[in-house]
Amino acid sequence: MARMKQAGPKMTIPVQLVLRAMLAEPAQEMYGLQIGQAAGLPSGTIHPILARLEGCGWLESRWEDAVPQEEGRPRRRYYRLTEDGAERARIALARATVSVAALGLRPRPAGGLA
Amino acid sequence: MKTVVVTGGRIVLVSDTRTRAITGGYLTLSRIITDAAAIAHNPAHPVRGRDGAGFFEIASMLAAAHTGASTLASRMPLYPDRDLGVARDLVRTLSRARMLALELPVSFGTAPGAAAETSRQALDLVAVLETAWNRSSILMHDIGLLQEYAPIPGRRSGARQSTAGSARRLLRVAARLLPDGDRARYAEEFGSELADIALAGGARLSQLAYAARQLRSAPRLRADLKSPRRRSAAP
Repeated sequence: MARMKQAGPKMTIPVQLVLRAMLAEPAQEMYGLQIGQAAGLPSGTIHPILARLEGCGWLESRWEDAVPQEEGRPRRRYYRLTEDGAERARIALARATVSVAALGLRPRPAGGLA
Repeated sequence: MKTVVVTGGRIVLVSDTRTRAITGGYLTLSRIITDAAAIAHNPAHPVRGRDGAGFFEIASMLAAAHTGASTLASRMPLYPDRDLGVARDLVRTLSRARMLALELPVSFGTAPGAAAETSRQALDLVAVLETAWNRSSILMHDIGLLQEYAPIPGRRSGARQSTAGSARRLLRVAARLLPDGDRARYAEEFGSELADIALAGGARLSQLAYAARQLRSAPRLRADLKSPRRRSAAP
């Protein structure tokens, strides 16, 4: 029961990497491959994380407004942090960093694009 | 038709179809930037934001952005190693212009004529710059995909424009493992990503690796989608 009250996903390293990548430009929409590249994670790891974040209401997603025939490719699914999600993500990341520091461990730098 | 380019010190083949899609995207982007510049060049009232920058400064930035977009629109072939830098600069410039536009003072309600018109122009400018910035970011990522999925020289596969049947089959299996209400969405989403890899020149092995990773993580995705803590998300 106590677990059910927990807001937000468990802050595993991959989740943190995804959130850091999306907080780099909070208003920016990104699609799955793009998020994976920015976070430095393989493609199989990304979709469960995105589903979890979307399920918590931290992310919202939509289909691209594009005509596949004009673009020469199928439409993409874009993700973006919600306003509430961005705020919660910042707090959760700060707490995760504090927790690591309290353990006396040095956190590894986040991956992704420069 | 394929084009031979040199990237990262090696000779690779890049699909002309994919390059044309990207350069065509930059041509469209240059037109959007022109629309934004038309607003920035003709303010009803020369207002300034908190840091002193106004329509004039935004117009100057858009001139530089237009040069960048036009340059990339005329590239054939694209050289990812060189052109990714130009694309990044363009994203940064448009991001900065958008931030300045967001700082422009906006009046609502009973503002007099010129102030109301300026407010409308500021809001229009923000909307156009939002579109331009999003597009530039997507196109930059597309160039990055060219670099990442360029085929290995010496291999027969070369650049591909179609998705591998075996990869598509694996993705169909992955989607079938998901809850009923989510299958169609993820089938389309996985297919879209596979197409991106193929269009960027990803060989059959790259596509199969992608599909295999989705299949391996499908049970975990299923569990997350069925989680009782999950709010309903739009399909």
